[in-house]
Amino acid sequence: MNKLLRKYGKKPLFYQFFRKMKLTILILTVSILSCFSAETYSQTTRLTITETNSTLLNVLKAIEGQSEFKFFYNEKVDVNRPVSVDVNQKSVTEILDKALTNTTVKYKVLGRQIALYDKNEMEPFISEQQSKKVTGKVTDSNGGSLPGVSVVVKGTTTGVITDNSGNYAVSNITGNAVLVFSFVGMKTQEVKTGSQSTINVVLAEEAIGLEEVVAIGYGTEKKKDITGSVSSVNLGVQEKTPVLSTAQLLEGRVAGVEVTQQQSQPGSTFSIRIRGTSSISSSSEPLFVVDGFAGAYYDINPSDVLTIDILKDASATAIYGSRGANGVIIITTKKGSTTAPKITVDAYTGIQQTNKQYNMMDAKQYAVYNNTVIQQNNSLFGFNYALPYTQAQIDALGKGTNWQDAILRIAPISNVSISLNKSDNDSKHYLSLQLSDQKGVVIGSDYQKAIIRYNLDETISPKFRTGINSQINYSFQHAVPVNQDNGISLVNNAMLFNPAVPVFDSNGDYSVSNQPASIVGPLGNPVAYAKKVTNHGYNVNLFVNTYAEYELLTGLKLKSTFGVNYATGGTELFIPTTIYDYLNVGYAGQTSRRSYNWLNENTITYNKNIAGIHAINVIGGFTFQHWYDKGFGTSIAYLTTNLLGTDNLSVGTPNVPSSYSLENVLASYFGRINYQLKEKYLLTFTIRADGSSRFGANSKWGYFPSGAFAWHASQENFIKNIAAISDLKLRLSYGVTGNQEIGSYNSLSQYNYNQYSLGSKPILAIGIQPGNIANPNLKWETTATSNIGLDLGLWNNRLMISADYYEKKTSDLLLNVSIPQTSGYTSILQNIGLVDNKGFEFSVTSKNIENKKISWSTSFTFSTNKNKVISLGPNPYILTGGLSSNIFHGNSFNTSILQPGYPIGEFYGYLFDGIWQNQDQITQSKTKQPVHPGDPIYKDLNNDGLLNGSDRTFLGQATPKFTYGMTNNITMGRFNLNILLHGVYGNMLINENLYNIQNGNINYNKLAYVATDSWTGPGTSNTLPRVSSVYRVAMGCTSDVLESGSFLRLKTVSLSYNVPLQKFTKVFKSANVYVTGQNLFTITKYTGYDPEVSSSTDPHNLGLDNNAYPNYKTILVGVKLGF
Amino acid sequence: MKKNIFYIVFILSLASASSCKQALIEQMHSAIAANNFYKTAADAETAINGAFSPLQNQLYYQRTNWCITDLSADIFYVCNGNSPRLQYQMGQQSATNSLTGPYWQYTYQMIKNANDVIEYVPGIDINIAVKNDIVGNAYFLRALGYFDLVRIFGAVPLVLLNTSDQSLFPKRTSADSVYVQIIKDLQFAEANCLHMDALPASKIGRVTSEAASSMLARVFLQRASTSFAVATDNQNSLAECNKVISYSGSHPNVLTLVPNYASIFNPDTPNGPECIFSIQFGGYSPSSMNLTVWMFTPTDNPWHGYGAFLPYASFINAFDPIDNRKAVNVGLIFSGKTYISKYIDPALSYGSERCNFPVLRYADILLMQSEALNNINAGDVTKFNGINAVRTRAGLGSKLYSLSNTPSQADFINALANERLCELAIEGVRRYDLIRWNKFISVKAAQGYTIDQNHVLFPLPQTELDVNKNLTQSPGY
Repeated sequence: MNKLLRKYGKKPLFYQFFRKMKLTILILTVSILSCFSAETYSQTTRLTITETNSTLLNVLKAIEGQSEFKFFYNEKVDVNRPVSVDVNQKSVTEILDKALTNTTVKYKVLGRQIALYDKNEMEPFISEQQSKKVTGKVTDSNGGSLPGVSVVVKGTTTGVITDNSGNYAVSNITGNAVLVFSFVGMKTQEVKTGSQSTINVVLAEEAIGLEEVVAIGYGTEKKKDITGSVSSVNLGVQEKTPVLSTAQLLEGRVAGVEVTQQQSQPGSTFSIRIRGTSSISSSSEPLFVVDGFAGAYYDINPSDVLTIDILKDASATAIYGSRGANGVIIITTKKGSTTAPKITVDAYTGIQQTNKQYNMMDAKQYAVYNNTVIQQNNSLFGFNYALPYTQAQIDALGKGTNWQDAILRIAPISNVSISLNKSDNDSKHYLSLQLSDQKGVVIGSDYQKAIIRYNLDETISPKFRTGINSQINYSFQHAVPVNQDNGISLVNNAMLFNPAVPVFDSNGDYSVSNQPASIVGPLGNPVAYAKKVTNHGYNVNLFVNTYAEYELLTGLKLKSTFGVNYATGGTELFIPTTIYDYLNVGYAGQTSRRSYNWLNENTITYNKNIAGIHAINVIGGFTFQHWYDKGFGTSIAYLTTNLLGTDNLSVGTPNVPSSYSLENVLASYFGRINYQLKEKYLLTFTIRADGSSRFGANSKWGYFPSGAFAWHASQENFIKNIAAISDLKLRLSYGVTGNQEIGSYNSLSQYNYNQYSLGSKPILAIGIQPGNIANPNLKWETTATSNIGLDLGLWNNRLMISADYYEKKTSDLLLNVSIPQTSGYTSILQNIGLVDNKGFEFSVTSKNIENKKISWSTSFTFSTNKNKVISLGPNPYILTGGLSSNIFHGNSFNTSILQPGYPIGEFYGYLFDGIWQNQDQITQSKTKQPVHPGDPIYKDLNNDGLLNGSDRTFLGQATPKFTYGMTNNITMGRFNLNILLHGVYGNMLINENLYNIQNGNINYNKLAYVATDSWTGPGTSNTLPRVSSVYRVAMGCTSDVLESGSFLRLKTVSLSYNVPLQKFTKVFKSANVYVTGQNLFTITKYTGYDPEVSSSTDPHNLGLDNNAYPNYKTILVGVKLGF
Repeated sequence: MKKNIFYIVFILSLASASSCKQALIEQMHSAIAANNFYKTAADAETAINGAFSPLQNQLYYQRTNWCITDLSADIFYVCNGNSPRLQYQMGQQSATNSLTGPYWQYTYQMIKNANDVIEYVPGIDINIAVKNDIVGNAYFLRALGYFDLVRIFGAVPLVLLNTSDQSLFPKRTSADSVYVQIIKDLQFAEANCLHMDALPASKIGRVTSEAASSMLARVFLQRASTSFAVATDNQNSLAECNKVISYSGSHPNVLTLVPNYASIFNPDTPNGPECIFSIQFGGYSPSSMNLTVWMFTPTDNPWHGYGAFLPYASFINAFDPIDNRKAVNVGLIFSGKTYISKYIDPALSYGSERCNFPVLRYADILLMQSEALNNINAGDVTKFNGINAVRTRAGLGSKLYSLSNTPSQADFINALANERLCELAIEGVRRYDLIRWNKFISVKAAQGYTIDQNHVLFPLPQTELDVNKNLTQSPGY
C-alpha cells in the first residue's frame, strides 16, 4: 500500500517530499540528483479506470493495480478527497489531470514512480537513474552485530534498519550516494557507496551526548536538562580497559573524583573522594546508589555496569540529604537488551610485578653496620658492649638473603565474565557471572571472587512495570598482614629482617633466629610467616531490589521499591607454634559478621509539558532504611596441636570472646521540582528531611534544601547564529547537605567491658568501665555548597568543555576532639568548627580526528581543591594523625595539625636542619638537648635552647594541590588504542618506613646507602645522621621523613583488535582480542614503594606510608566474544 | 484499580511514617547504657573489677611502671637503641617520650574508673559493709594512681569527680595537696576494706585493710622526705608499719615473712603470705599474661626473650656472694652474659602469664619500719629488727647489722639502700627510694649520667599540654 511507504523499510526507495525544515538539504540534493531519464513508460501505458463517486485513494490503487506505477505522497495530499473518474485507455497523465482537477495537488512522473505533491510545497526530485543494491553488516567495535541501525541514503530519508543479525540491504542506490549509518549511543558514520555492493560498517560508541540520559537521584534526566554538577563516566571507552573492581573505572577519568586503593593487596578496598575531604573524623566516602538502592554494597562486576554518574554539587546531592555531602555515585547496571549479543564472554589473564624494591644492605654491610652502632655508642656513652660480629664472621658473610626477593613474586591474575541477554516485548532479562582470581605480588596473598547478577524488567501492562535487580557476591581473600599500626607487617619484616639469616636452616626448616639483632617484630622469618600462617577473609553479599511502577494518569507515576542488602562474612587466622613468634604459643581464631539493611522507597512523580513551553517534573517520596550489624569473634592460644588450624577451637586456651550488635535507622521525606521554560531556563528545587537514630536526642531530624538554575544559552537565537557554538549552558546552584557517618551509639553514654585477674586460682573476672562522654547534641555535619558551572560544545560538539567552580563550607564538623586525659578519656565526639573546600574542575573532550579510517579522541580532566580549616570551635588547634606505635614503642606521636588557615592533613612537626658536626657546634648553640655529634639538628624555632612542643611547625599538606588525567582513544580500522595518564601534584607523604630503615631505630636492616652515606665524622654528611643516632625517633614527626607525593603515571595502555571472525563462522557475532598494561611507569621523586599509597583508613592519617603493600604493574591479554 | 493502588501506597507511607518516631530512638545492644547500670551488687562488683583492669596494661603496670621506677634508677640498662627507654635510663626523658604519655593516660583512666565507683556505688541499695569494701578498693586505686603521679611529675591535676561534674581542663594541684588527698583516700580504704583473713579466696587480688595501711606507711615515709613534709610523717609511717606487723603477729597464716625468698616469685604459689598487694595476672588467658620476664631473658632458645635489658654490674655486685637472693634476681647466665632472672617461671612454659607484679609485700613493711625508726631516732636499736629479719631470710644471718657496724643514721640509710636494692629490685620502688634518700642524682652520676635537679621530676606529656591550656610544663623542660 502506498500509505505504508511512509514507513521505513517497506520499499527499497523512498522519496523525501516537501520537508521545509530540510530546505537546505533539498537544495543540495537538487544539484546532486540533476539527472532525469526519459519518461517513456508513462507515455505508452494506457489504462481503463472506472471509479465514480470514489476517492482519490481508490483511483491511485486502481492505477497501481493495472500498471507498474507506484505512487508516493505525503500528508499534504488529501487522498480521501471524493473524485469521480471514468476513463478508457487513457494515459496516466490524463487520468491524473482529471482526478486532480480543482486541487492544489500536482504530480511528477519519473519512470514508473509518480509523486503527488501540493503545489505550495516544493517539487519533488525523483531520480530514475540506473540503480543498484548495497548489502552489508553493521557491528559495534567489539564485533557484536547491531540490529536496529538505521541506514539512510544521505539527503533523503530513504533507508532501512538492520535486522537481528545486523544485516541490511538497500536497493536502487545511485552510484554516488552516501549511506548514513546511525544508532543511539553510537557515532553516526557516513560511507560513500562508490562501486561497492557490500559495505560492512563498524560503529563506534559515542561519548555521552547531550541527548544521553543520566541518572540523578530518584530519576533520570537528559544531560542537556541537568542543572547541577553531574559527571558521567564514559563507559564506551572504559569497557576497553579490563579492571577487577568497579571503583577502578573511576580512576583518573572524572574531574573532581580521586580514587586511591587503600592497599595494593588483592581484595583491598578503594577510597574515593569527590571534591576533597570535607570531614575530619567522619567518613569522606561518597554515597553509593546502585540501581536506586542508596547505601548499597558496590563491588559490582565492571562488565555489568551500564553507566556511572557522579553527583557533585549540592543541587544534585541534596535529594540524599544527610548522606549527600561527600557526593553521590550512581551506578546503573545493564538490563536486557535486544541490541547486544545474546551471550558475551570476556576473559583475560596476565601477570603482575612490583615496580620497585627498597635497596637494603646485604649481610656483610649489615654486620658492619651493627658493629658500627655498638662502637659509636660505646665511645659516646662510655658503654662497654661487645661487638655482635667478629671480623672473621664478617669476612665469612656474603650477600645473604634478600628478604624482599624472598617474599615477592610475579603473580598471575585472571578474570572471566559471561553475560546472557534475553529480551522480548514484555520481559528483559540480564544474567551475568564474573569469576576472578588474583594472586598477590607478595607470597601468601591472593583473592578470588565470584559475582552473579540477574536483572529483570517486566512490562505487565503499558502502565504497570515491575522488575528486580539482584546480585550475589562471594569473595575470598588470603591476606598477609600489612599497613597495621602495630607494625605487624610482612612487608615491613622483609625490609627489617637480618639479611645474614638464610630462609632455611641447615635442616631445611625455616630459620627462626634473627641473631644477633634482637627480634624484629612478632612475625619472625617473613617467608615462614607467609607460608605457614592462615589468614583468610571471606564475604558473601546478597543484594535484591524490587520495584513496581504504575502510571496512574498520563504523566503521574507511582513507584515503590523494596530491597535488602544482606552481607555475611568472616575471618580465620591461624598462627602455628612452629613459626618464630614472640609468644610462640600459637593462635587460632575466627570472626563472623552478618549485617543487613533493608530499604523501602515510595515515590510519586508527575511530568507535564504545556504547549511545548513549560515542562514540569515533580517528585515526592518517603523512604525508610534499617541497618543491622552483628558479629562475634573467638580465639585460642597455647595450641596443643598445629594440625587443626581454625577448624577446631577446642585445642587451646580460649581468649575472651567478643561480640557486637549495632542497629540504626534512617527515615526520610524528600521532594524535587524541575521546571523548564522553552528549554532555555531550567530550575530545580530539592528538599530532604532525614531522621536518624544515630543523632543525639536533641537533634533527630535534619533538613537539606537546595536550588539550581541553568540557562541553556545555545537555545537563544543570538547564540544559534554563532555557527561554532553548538551547545552552551550556564549552571548555578546552592544547597545544603549532610554527613551522618558517625557510627552507632556515639551520642549515648555507655559502659565497656574489660577484665581483671582475680582469685587464688586466678580467673578473668569481668569488669566494666565508663567508655565515653555522652553528647546528646550530636548531629550530622552540614555542608553548604555553591556551584557555578559552564558547559560548552563547539563545532557540532567536536570539542566539549565543562568547567565548574565550587565552594563547600562544612560546619558542625564531627570531630573526635582530643581532651585532656586527666578526664580518663582521650577524646569526645563533638560537632564543632568549619572547613572550607574551594575548587575548580575542568574537563574537555575533543574529537581530534574523525573519519572513516581513523578516529582519535582525547579527554582531559583537571581538578584543584583548596581545603582550609576555618575554625575549630574553642580549640585554637587540634593535633591529629598518629605515627605507628611499632616505631615509637608506646603511644604514637601526632603527625598533623588542624588549625584555622591550614588544610586538613597539614603535617606538623620539627624542621630538620642538618647534622651536628662536632661538639663545639653543639656547645656554641647553647642547646640544652642531649645531642651528640652526628645527631640530626631540629630547629629550635623559638631559640630558648630547648626543643619541645613549641618548636614544631607546619611541614606541608597531605592533600594534592591538583590532580589531572588524560585519556586518548584512537581507533584505526580494526585496532583501538586507549591510553590513560593520571597525575597528582603538590601533596606530601610521610614515609614512616624511614624511621626503621634509614635512621631512627637501630638494629633493623637499613637501606644500602646508610652504610656509605651516613655521618661518620665532621664534614662527612649534613643529611644523614650517624648510624647509631636514635634522636630522630625521639622527636616524632620531622620534616626529613616527609617526601613529595607528586606523580605522573601511565595508568593504562590498552590495545585491542577486532577480529573479523564473522567472516569465517556464524557462531560469533563479535570477537575482540586485547592487550593491556597498567601502571607501566610512574614519574615521581618518592623513594618508597609507590606514591599512590594510603596506609591508614583513618581520616586523621592522611598521606601515611607505613609498611604498605607494594604497588605493582600488570600486563593482561584478553578476548571478548559475542555469540 | 488506580485509586486502590494509590491508597495502598499512601497508607503504607503513613504507616511507615508513624512508626518512625519510635524507630529513631536509638537502642543500644552491645554496650551497657549508663542509666541501666549501678543497680545491683553484681554491678558494683563488675565496676570495681573494671577499675583494676587498666593496671594489667603493658604500657602501665606490666612494663612502663618498672621502666620508670627501675630502668631510670641503677638496676638494669637498655641493650638496644630503644629511644624512649634510653631516655629513662639516661635521665633525659622528654615531654614527647612515647612511654610517659600512655602511662599518664592509663593512670588517669584507672582514676576515672575508681571515681565512677566512688560516685555511684554508694547509691546502690546493698549491704553497707559490702558497699564500703568496694568503695574502699576504689579509694585505694585512686590513691595508688595519684601517689605514682605525684612522685613522677610533682604537682598534677587532681580529678576527684568524673567529667560530667567538673571542668575538663584542670590545673595542676600542688604536690602537698595531692598527698593530703592520697592519705585521705587510703584512710577510707584502711577503715573499710576487708582484713586479709576475711578476704574470700575468690577475691584474692583485691585491696585489704592491710594493703591500705602498708601503702599509708609508704606515703608518709615518702612525704617525710619532701619540702612539704609534715612533722608526724615518720611517726605515722611507723604506726602504719606496726599495724601491719602486729596483724602479721596475730595472723601468721595470711601474712608473714616467708622463709624462702624464691617462693615469693614462684607463679605456682602466687599471692602467698608474703604478699600484701600485687597486680594480678593470669587467669589463663593470653590477654592477661605478664610479659615482664620476656623483656629480660635472652633471645636464644629456650627463653625466646627480648633481651631488651641487662643488669648493671653494680647491681650484680650489690649481692653478697652468699646472699640467696642473687640467684633469684640475676641467676641466669647465658653465653657469658648475666641476665635478670627474677620473674622467670620455673616451668619455663612459653609465656609467664602467671607472674603477678608485687606492689607491697611484708619484707618491705619490715624495711620501712626500720627506716622510719632510723628517721625518728637513729639510736633506736629496734630499727635493726626489720632489716635483720630480711637479711636472715636472705641467708645473711651471719652478717646482721647493729649499731656497732652501722653507727650513724647515714650509715644505716646506706645499708638500707643496698638491702632494699637486693630485696626489692624491679618491684617499682627503686627510683623513689633513691629520691627519698636524696641519692638519685649522685647514683646516676656514678653511672655517668648527669642529671639536672629539675629533671628529677618528669615533664608532663606534650600530648596533654597540647590539649589543656591550663597546664604548665614543669621547670627545665
